[in-house]
Amino acid sequence: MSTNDTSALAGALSPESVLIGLAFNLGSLLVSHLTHAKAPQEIIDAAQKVVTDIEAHAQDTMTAAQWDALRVPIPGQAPDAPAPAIGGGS
Amino acid sequence: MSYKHLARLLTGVAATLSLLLLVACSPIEKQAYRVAVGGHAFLMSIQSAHPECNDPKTETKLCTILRQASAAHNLLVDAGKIYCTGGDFMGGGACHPPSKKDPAYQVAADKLQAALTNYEQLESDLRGAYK
Repeated sequence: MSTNDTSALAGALSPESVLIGLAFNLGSLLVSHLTHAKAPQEIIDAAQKVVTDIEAHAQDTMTAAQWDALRVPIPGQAPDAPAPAIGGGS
Repeated sequence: MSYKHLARLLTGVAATLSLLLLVACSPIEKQAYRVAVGGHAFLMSIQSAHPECNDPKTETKLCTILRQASAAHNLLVDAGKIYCTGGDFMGGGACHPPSKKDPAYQVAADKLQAALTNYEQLESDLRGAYK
């Protein structure tokens, strides 16, 4: 991640973009701090994941694939499949 | 700086980032999506920190709420997808919410709002259990 990436995120200058840019910067700062503090690698990886998620979803067109990527495993249960598409609700 | 301190710091920052992403006034599908983005990072960090919850026999308060919050999170994702299903959404296109004139609009909007409220409550409960 670079300063250019951060600038691109906040480039649109809408309030939402600025907030996302701010969140991205804070996350990046945290990753940098953890790295310098020689934190356990899994902690650094988790922090980096947060930053990556923010970056990946900054341009949120909210496609079906982007929604599906947000699903989480339920601890203690077998992984579940995405729900079938339902048009227009029921 | 201890491992636990770092883990708590990370969780706090993830929650703060989630809140930052929520501040802007947005349509409900964007609100839901951003809560889901923050919730994904939050839940995955808690799940990584508590692998014992992967054992179904582990029934601590934290594991129970973590399972409920994870299920509620996935329901939020499903409700978001249902709300967005229109236009070319199922063909890989962007979210296409129903028209407010569409009779299905209110049903889909109500379901998405209910899923959002339910998840936010469980995330709050999970934060309380994690302290």
